[in-house]
Amino acid sequence: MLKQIRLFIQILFLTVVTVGVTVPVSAKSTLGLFEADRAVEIAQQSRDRVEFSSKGVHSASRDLFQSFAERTVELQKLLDARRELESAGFLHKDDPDGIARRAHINGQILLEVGKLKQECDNHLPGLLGSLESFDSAVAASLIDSQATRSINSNYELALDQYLKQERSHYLKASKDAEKSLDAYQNERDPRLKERAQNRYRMAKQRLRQIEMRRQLYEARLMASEMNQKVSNKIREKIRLEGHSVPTRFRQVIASLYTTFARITPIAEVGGTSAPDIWGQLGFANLEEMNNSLQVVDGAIGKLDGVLNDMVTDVMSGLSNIQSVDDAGSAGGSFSVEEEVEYLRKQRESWEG
Amino acid sequence: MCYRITKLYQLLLIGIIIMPCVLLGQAHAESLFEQYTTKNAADLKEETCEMGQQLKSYFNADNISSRQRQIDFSEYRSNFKKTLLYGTRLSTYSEYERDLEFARDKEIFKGLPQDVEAAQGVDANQQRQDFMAKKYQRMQQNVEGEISTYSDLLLIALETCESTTRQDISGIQDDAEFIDEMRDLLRSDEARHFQKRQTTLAQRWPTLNQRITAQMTLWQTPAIKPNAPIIDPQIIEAL
Repeated sequence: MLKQIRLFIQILFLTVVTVGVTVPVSAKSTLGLFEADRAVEIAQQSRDRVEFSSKGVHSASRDLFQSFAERTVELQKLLDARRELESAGFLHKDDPDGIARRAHINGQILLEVGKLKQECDNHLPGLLGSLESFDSAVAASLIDSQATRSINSNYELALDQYLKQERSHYLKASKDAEKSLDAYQNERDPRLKERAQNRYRMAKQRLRQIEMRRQLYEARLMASEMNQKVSNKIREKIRLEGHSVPTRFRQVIASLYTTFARITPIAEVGGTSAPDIWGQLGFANLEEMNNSLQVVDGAIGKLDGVLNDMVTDVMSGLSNIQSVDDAGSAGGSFSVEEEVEYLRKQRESWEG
Repeated sequence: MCYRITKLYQLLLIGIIIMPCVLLGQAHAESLFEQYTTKNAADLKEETCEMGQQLKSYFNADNISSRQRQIDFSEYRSNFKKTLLYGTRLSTYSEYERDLEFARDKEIFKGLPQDVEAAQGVDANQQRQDFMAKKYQRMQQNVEGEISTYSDLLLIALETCESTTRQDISGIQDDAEFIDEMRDLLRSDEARHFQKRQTTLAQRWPTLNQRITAQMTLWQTPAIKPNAPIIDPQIIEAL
């Protein structure tokens, strides 16, 4: 369970860091769009809150499970000794010595379980308190992460709108460029030809600026889509896993106390009048406790697999972000064919 | 020859050092087994009686019930807090369709892009309308997603609370300390925020509101026990 919480925090950290990596690309702009910065800030605050609160659960549960593990080793030694004695015929129920040995070792086993319970008792208030804090932190983070959905969505819409406006700028500049290029090709007078070339150079410069802005907006849109994807992961992770961690934790502890409670009637009878009665004890209750621990282990293993898949998924999604390619923006030699090709590519990229 | 004797001596020395360690290890591994096979029955019985007294203190019924009550109450209180929190958030969306339509019709959506050059163009108005329609659609999707999340989480928390109080085996509703803690919680900021939003929540989700109110009422008034007298003892005394 401790492993599960640690892994949950790690994934949360990874996803929030990813938001931090992707969004500032889009945030450092002259557009004055502050939404993306706000989304990052909110995500970071959520991470900090959950991280801070998880430290309490880490420490409380680590102490409990460490003591628990030590006691379980002692318990296992007793169970092994009991099995050896049984198979060697030293616990025979028809033999008075066998009955005495059986009652004694059964009593020792129960006493060891009692020590196990004592460890649980000692750590219970701290553990319950830290679980409640963790629960509150996860709930608050979940609410915050809901807000990032709208923030990202608004940011995407605004970028999309800017891209449309850039398109109208492009159409105008493109017409100017084509007109100037035609004039350059058709003109015979060297002075007029030079003027047409200058006009084209200026129009092309404008096209390059627009192209750069388009690439920037497209990169921002990509980052924004990724941001949305990452935010979804955070939301779903908190919702599906973070939300249920404290409840599952409490269920495991509750099932341990249910097992302890089953020993109470035996302890009361044996403690007051006839400890010999322990000679007749079976150990189904201990089996049950062992099963509870196995269920916890199994759940942790299963969750590990799910989270690993999720990390791989997030990482492969991130690799889709490409750096902005500035090839074709550098001017130098002048070839009409190359320039026509350039204009055609520009149009194609806009028409998409 | 001398070399062989020295070697033999060395091996013997190593043997002398290692053997006790091996024997000690075996003795330790077998100590429990040997302990049981060598001890006499009378001693074992005496020790068993002593263990009985110790065991009784470990597995005291009241002590175990008290721990179980603590776990149940912790689970209940945590989910009760979440119920109030998610209930308050959910109430915000009570009239979301009306709010969104108003924002769309009056063109008051936040983040409406302003480009002076583009706004002077022929299709500026069309672009503006397209933006409004898209923004409206996106916000509707987002709000529906948020409502779905909050409803889901609220129901999980509320059902946990209801399940605990419906069959209160550990008796958290009778525990004076827990009653006080819950009453403190009902006076907290979280509860006050929820109470302020309750009317709004009830407009769209009346059943949910009723169920949350029922949980709050449990702690506001003393719980009626199954064996409580039908007529108030004070009235009987007065008669």
